[in-house]
Amino acid sequence: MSAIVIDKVEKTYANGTRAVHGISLNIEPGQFTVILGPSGAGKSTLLRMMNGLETPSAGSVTINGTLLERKTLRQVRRTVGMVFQQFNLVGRLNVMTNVLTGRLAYRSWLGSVLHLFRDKDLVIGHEALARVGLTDKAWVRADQLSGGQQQRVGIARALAQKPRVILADEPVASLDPLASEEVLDLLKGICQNDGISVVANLHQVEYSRRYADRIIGINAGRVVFDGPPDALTDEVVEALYRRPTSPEEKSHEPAALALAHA
Amino acid sequence: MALETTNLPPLPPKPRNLFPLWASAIVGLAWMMGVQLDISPKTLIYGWEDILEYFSRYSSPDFSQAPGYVVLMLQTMAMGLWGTVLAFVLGFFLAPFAARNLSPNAWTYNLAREALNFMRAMPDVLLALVLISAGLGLGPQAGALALGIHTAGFLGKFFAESLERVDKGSYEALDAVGAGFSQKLMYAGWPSILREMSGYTLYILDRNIRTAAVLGLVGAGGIGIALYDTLRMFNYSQSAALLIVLVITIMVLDRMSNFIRSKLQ
Amino acid sequence: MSLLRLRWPTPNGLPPRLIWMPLLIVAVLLAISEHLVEFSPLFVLSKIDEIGAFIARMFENPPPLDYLPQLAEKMLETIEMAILATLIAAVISLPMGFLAAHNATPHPLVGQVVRDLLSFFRALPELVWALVFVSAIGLGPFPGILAIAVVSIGFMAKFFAEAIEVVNKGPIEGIHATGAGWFQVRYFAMFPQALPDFVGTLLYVLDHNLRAATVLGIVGAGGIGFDLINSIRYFEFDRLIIIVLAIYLAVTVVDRLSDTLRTRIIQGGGCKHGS
Repeated sequence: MSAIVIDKVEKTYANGTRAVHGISLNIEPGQFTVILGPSGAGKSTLLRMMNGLETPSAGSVTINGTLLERKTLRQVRRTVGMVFQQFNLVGRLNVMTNVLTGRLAYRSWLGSVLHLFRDKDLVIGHEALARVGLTDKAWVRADQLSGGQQQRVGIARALAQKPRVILADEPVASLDPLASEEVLDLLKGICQNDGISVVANLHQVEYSRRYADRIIGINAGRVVFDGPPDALTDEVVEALYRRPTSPEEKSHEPAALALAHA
Repeated sequence: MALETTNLPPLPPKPRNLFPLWASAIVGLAWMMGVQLDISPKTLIYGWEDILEYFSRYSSPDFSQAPGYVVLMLQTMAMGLWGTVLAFVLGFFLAPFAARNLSPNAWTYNLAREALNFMRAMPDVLLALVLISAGLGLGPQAGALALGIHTAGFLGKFFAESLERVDKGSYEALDAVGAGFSQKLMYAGWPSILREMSGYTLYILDRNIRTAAVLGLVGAGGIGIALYDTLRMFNYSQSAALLIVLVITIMVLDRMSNFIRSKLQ
Repeated sequence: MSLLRLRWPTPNGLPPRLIWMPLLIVAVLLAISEHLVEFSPLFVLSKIDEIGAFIARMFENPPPLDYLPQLAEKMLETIEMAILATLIAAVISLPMGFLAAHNATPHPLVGQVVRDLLSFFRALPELVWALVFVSAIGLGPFPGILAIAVVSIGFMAKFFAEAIEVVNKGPIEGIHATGAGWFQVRYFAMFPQALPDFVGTLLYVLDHNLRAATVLGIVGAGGIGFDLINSIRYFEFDRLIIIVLAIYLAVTVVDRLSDTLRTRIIQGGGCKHGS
């Protein structure tokens, strides 16, 4: 069974911008899948539809056999970890509490208000922190860490969910090269050793070639490439980052924006 | 490959969380204060029928005197406006001396700050009382003056803090061309904080009109005096009408000043 | 072009409209409201020596030492009223703030109703609420505390709601993505971010409440205000001056204290929140 089944998904925003044009994909379990494309290509929208942060205008998303809809949202999100470009930690809470927020979907609202977690949750949190190598920072406030460390806490939070899939939306776009490689190595390791499928949005071709098992190239809301890293030739890359030609897309896909990240 | 808990690097010792200690200290202190002030929520719980009955007396407002109330309300608003203008003028002249980076010397700085502190510390109702008995007599004049002095303390402090936050470079650039104290103010200080100043002044205007409504209680004119009289004579229908006029006016003003402030940003 | 002609550094040489328009409006308003306020600077100036004499009379006699114990007791009562009212208001403002904030309210209609209610609480000053509560439940500090608390809820909940509305959206999304529930998102993502603002507001309000508490005694709602108005009414100027000094002292101390605490909290690390 595929980990994620995306079936003819479309997304049109209220202002008329069409971000995703009928994409269908199957993402296999245990793979490191990279969605590659220029900024504004619809990568982020596509990824965010995989855990219901955006609702598709048409089509459906199925995660591990569960159709993503309003009443299954919480249940699905529980098994799908998400890592963000801006880390999205709660800066004023300490690192451990941030990691434990990954357990919230398993806890009642009353217990969580009192900041009460089970011992089991604490063990899971401890494991997740150890996995990202930050046990020594457990009681430090999250906003006092460096960018790379914050992103590792973000990954620990996702791990604490005991997920089957981790979605990473431009996980290294705000980091320096050294921290970027650390974070990507970590995600790759999690994918290989823990059997968790990882789907990451990237805009750097080099990283995609190095880390991906499978690359899906997206431009102007459509899949323009799908294959292993070896098949991603320079010609394909050039086509991927070429500005769209039809006048309709040109209006919301300024060439300058697309080229800036090529 | 999940890691075993026993193999994990140990967590550093957990820092002591003092929150429960603080919380229980505050609750304990509040409890003691409540006991000392002889406050029993029982008054509210057992007496709620009486209280409801009491508030039901306000249910039939009598608007027969409404035109008079409107005049009183206008007087209240005028008092607030005059007080604010006075406060603005006083604050405008005192603030530069109370701004650390602009004040000519430590002497004027401390003097201006202490003056502003004193103005802020004296409640406006107290100032109105003193001004009335000191010779200004009953009427809105004492009220406007009291509001002006008290809120000048606030405006002066806010303006001074804003002047201190202005980018150092703006002042340095003017120092470099040889500008003096007042020139630095007029070309770097005030223009940089115009927006904040208008915001603060509107906020104070709002507050002054609200407060002007109670200065009547001590004889400083406006709608407060009528409210005090009707309440003292247990004339609840007229009190209700007065309260309604007051609440509506202030809520409308609140909306207006919110609107203007949002436009300023 | 005359060298002597003065002009503003604007295209047409006139002051910008953003400057002269408000000034003109204020001038017109002052002119038409002049007869309502009966404000005359000359009259005020002519009374300066009378006011001076009034102040001089406060210092004529040595301070009445036998009054000091009562003063201390009444000042303590005033401070306690302010603190208790602020605490009560803080506890009630937290949920009210969430209900009023556009991004946290359970339903837009609930938000609107709560915001209108808060606006009503703020509309009447403490003294008016105190008048109403005194006639409802009798004399003493309790109606005074209720009066202060009501106005404080109006302000604190409003400011708290505004603080919630501007919190960083990233962490909210981060917590949402873990599958956290409605309440958990508000508690773990919004509350910690808005907390420093809330504590800052709380300190402002405490400061304000102490000032308010000093005058509530005028309508019989407890605190030093009762002695204050009596000393004016019965021309006990020696008492008046020490009451005024006591108020000045208390207000200044709290003002400084809350200023220091506020800067510490804004610079971070002041308020711990976490497990």
